[in-house]
Amino acid sequence: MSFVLTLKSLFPGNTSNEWLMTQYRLSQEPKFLEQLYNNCANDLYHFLMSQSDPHLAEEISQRTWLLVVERRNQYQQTGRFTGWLFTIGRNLLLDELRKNKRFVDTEQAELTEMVTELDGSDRLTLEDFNRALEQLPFYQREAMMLMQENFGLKEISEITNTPQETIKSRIRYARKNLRSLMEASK
Amino acid sequence: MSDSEQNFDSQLQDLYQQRKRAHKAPSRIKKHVLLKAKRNARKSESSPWMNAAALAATLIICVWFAVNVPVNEPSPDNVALVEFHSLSGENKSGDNPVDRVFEYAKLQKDFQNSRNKKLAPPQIAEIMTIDEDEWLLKTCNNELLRVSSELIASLSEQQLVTPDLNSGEAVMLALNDEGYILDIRRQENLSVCE
Repeated sequence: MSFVLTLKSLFPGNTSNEWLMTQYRLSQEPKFLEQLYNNCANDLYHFLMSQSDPHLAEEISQRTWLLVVERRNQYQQTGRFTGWLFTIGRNLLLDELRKNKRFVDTEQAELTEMVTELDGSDRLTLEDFNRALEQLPFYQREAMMLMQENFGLKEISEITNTPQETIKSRIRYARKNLRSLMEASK
Repeated sequence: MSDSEQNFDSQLQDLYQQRKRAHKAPSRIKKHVLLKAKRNARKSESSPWMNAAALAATLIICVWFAVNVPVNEPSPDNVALVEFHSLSGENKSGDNPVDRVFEYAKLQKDFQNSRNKKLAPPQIAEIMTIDEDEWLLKTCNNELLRVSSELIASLSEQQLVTPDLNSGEAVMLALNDEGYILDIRRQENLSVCE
């Protein structure tokens, strides 16, 4: 039995983020946390940075990971680890933005679209994309980015504590607006 | 979904990944987080030993108290009244809240006279502790008398205290009608309060 367990622990196929987090919770071995960090840190940082700025993203990233350490016993393997991680990070970020009055709830204003007809054949540049993403309203950008991070509708809804239908709308408007903005910036 | 839209989504994914590669998390975050995780791990490793050490220390303290603290040590719960008797009235140690203060310096001139005044009924008390600052006496009425060492010395000079009294011994207190101690004499019968 222990031989099988040893083999399993050595087998790389088992090292999903959820498995790593469970191992970290049970053992507190920093090596599991390090591997989790290597797997997810850049995704989280990029998400936070796109929703704020590099300085704040660094601070919130660090606080998020420290909370993962502190709240390891609250982790329940019911969903993906990244869902839990992004939820913590997003909540910390919103708290900070609200505290510093940098957050404006523009839900209604966001549900508008700026569609222009696109050819669709031209290649878009990274510069166009960056500029367009920055111009997207907060919630649309958030929904779009979480979708790009391979979260499903249900997961995005849980991370943002928002109904799925609203998320669907945000993604639809985000795509259209992004397309329009990118085309305009060419 | 049209070809145009599919093409756009595909481009979007590519551009998103390119953007992510250009914005990586600063390495100092990782250092800080792992340092914290290592500290946490060390703390939890040491905690079973610390818990055991704390338990052992608690046991030692309990045993020490059981051996060294007299069972009849007065506790605030079973004491009816606390009196403080001293020459100056100054409460030096101040551990117990005092209900009445007796300042003997005021009586000094008339002390001999006060001895001749009408006396209150004598009281039997047990010497609980004798230390540098004061004597602690407990009467049969569960009153706690704190008598300053200066006052004991003053009474002793006047041969009003039986020499060589020790804690655990019973004494008879002669009191004047105001409750001032006039003398302290050894009481041979220890079971007087019973």
